[in-house]
Amino acid sequence: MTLSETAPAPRDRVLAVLGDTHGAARVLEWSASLALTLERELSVICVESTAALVAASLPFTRVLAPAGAEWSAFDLPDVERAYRAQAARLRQLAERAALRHDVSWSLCSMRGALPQLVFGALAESDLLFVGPMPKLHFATAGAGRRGAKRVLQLAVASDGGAASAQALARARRLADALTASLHELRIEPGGSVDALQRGAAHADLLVLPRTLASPEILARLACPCLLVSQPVHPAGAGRPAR
Amino acid sequence: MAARLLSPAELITRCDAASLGLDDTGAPQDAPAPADAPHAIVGQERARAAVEYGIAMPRPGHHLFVMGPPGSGKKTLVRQAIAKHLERHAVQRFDWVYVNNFAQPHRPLALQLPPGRGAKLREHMRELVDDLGTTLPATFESEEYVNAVARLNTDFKERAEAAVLAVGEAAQREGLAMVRTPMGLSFAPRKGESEVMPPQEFEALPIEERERLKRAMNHAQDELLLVLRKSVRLRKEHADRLRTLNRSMSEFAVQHAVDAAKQHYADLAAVLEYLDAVRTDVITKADTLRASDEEGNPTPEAPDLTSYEVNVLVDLARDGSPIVSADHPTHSNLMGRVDHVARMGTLLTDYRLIKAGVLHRANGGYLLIDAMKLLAQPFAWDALKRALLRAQIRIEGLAEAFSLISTVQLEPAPIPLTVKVVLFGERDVVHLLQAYDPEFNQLFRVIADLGDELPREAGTQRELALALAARSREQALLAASSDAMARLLEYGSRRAGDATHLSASVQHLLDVLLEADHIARNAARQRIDDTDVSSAIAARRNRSSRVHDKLQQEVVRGHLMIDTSGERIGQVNGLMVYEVGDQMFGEPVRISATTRLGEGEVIDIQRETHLGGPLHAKGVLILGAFLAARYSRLHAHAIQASLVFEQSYGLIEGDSASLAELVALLSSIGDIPVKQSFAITGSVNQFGDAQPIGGVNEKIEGFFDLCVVRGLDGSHGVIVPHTNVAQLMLRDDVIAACAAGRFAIHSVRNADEAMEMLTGLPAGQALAPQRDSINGRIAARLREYAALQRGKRQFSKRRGNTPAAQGDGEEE
Repeated sequence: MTLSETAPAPRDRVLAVLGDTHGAARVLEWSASLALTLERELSVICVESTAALVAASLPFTRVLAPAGAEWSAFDLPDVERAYRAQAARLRQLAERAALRHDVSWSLCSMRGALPQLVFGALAESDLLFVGPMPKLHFATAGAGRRGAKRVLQLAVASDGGAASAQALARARRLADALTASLHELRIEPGGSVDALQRGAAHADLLVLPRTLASPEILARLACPCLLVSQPVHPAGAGRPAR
Repeated sequence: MAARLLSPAELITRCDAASLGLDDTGAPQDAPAPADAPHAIVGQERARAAVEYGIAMPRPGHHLFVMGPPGSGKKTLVRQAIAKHLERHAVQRFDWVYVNNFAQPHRPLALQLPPGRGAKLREHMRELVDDLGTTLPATFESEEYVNAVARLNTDFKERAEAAVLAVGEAAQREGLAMVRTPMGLSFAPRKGESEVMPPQEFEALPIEERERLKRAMNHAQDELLLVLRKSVRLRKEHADRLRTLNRSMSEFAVQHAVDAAKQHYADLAAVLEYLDAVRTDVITKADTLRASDEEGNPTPEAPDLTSYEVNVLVDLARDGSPIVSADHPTHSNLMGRVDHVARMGTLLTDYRLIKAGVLHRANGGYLLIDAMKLLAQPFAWDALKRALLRAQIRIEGLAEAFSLISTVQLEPAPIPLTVKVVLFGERDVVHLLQAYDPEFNQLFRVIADLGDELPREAGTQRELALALAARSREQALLAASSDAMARLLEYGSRRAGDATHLSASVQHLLDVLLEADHIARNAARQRIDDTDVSSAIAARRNRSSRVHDKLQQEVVRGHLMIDTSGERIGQVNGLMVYEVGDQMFGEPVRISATTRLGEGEVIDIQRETHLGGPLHAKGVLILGAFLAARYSRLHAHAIQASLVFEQSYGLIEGDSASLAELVALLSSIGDIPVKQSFAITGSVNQFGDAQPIGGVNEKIEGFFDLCVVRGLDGSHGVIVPHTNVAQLMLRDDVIAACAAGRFAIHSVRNADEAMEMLTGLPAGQALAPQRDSINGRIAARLREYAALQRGKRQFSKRRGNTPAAQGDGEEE
């Protein structure tokens, strides 16, 4: 296992893009598991929201802590410090998952909006885990803390096209690796985001062909997702060092 | 009448071996008698009747105190009476268990069950707990449950997030963006669809627009706070729905298990009620009964279901004897206790650590306790009385009562008590309790008194012999011959101090038989003979004869001055008895008297020096009364006399030497020499009649032993009251000496006979004595004293043995 601080190459890696620590452990676990299955390197990308940094730079903006009852002032250094702490936490989680699955891994930070990054700078990645969108989380009483272990539920969106077939194949391998159940969501071409959202409401992970995804869909999904596209191996690229 | 020389036959009442009805093996010759049992109690009919009444009497407050000497068979008698009572009257007893009180865990519940069903309930509860240990986790791990929880969670999240999103959308319409930062939520002026306006662009806006945006931001912030506060209610609602789900799932799991247990106890309402409480508790605590790790994931460990265990306090199936004996009646052994366990430096307890006391085990039956052991234990007697008066067993720890430890304490529910308590002890204990503890009389209304002695009749002897033979067989002793048993019974009579009675201490006789068995085995004999019994008796006497031997040595060496020959005025050999352990022995003591002109006083030097007890003082006062009444009825009793036990340095108690003291006094008054080859014992009344005394056998033997050492010459003997003749059970060597004429035992009825025997002179009439008689000399001397006191006569020098001769009839 090695740790690389360099920017990840888009192919021959499993990318995990995370804008929050909430739910990150599970996403990293799945990512490492898939990386092991496919004998790839795991690249973790911590996204620092540009909007949050800009908002913090405005002198009159205030912030409401997740468990707070009062609005308080905040500055850019506060947000940057919080992102550094978040990155450190994600590094810990990634290291733990990579150690468990014995895969090489790397971690870097990028600034921007998570959905835009996925379809911009990281558009060439063929296996890209996207963590839950940063938002206000409502912890569930009882079940969340003492909930029983249940079978992991995967959903794969498919419109019947070649990309969907590719996504379905990846989803099956992932389901096998995670001992998860797999549910196929049939999406009509040009189907609504709401239909996709409803279909994936009870899924732990949605496997989505890039052809069916968009920044709007990512922004509204409640669960993490795995974006799958056709792999394009650059000439001379070999297996990552392990 | 004169003193009577006793024949050898009168010196002991032999036991006829043939009348005992035993063969050579110690077995009864004819059909087995009731006494032919190892634990037969001989005699004691009065005590037996009292015990049977006390055992049979069902009313409260009729507990029993059985008093009597050690080894008299008190406990055996009670056990036999209980067994006899139980043959016709069955006792109603129950198992008792303590279970958790789910509403008030510090007050465990006591459940009463028919015999044997307490342990069954424990087994059924273990099965129930086992079932729950598997069905509860299985239920909460089921897909049905997990999906139901997931649905509730999703619903809650969607509803809560929708409200937040609505605030975000409203802010969007006002030109704001809701921004998620690692520090929380924020609102900022929006640029385009989702970006945040940089500071430079915001500053470039018209001031009105900037103010509007700031107001919109404030409003959005207030709205968001409002929404979040409302989400608390949603969270509560969500928690309630989850709890309801958990309860319904638990109920499904527990109902079947509890119903299975309940069908065994349809006849026991209290147990059914408890099982219902178990069901309710399992359902209520469904969340906590699922073991889970820190992450909330279920662990392989079974859930903690220990609070449903059953603590069986009384299990009659294992120990159902209705007779319980409290060997070590401490407070906790009697009333039960609550143990504690140390955990992390703290003492903890619960209902499972409640331990039964003997009262619990005897509940419904009979509890036998040694009174002295009970009274010697702190707080045990009070606790027992409290329990009997309340008719319930309430476990109260002493540490709790005295605040010795500060930790969790239990108040176990009291258990109804119906027990018959039988206390055993000696008479002093009963009398003290009756005098000083009013509650004793309230609780122990039946007192059974076992006699120290049994009447020595043919039937009693036979029964006692059979009982001893049976016990010796039980203890695998050699068979005792009839002669051996007869010898043992004679010893029993000697122990009783009366030829017409037997000692009630059967255990003591059995101890002698044990020693005789040892002697016979050492001699390689196949059975115990009378010589073995005699040897055992002699050995026992020898073991405790150190003081006796020491005193005798002192006499022989002349340090203790006792004459056994010659004559002396005012000096008599009295006899004393010493008690060492359970053995008694007699020793002679010199009693001397001096007389002189006085005011009628008899000075008891023992009393004046506080070395005489009240009974002895009483005896001496009686002597003074006797002298005055007999010899000075018509003139002043002008004498002063002093009496003392020579070389006695301990307390003298009892009046058994008063006859000897009287002889010494009379000898001194009348200047009449007394034979020192005799010793005398007996008490005397105001008329001079000899009265019986105790320890007559030991006293005779004490003087005999001394005379043997100095050499028996036929002049030696002992004078005893005639009323003591029936009590004579003397040693064989004493009897042999008497038969050979080397020693003599005389009985007397009064002081005159004793004086005649000891002086060789006639006593004379008591009120009109002849001049040369003993009484005549004494009367004359006292008249002289009276005259001297009045100053009418000058007393001339004494002349020989007739100092009062010239004074006869010369008064006035």
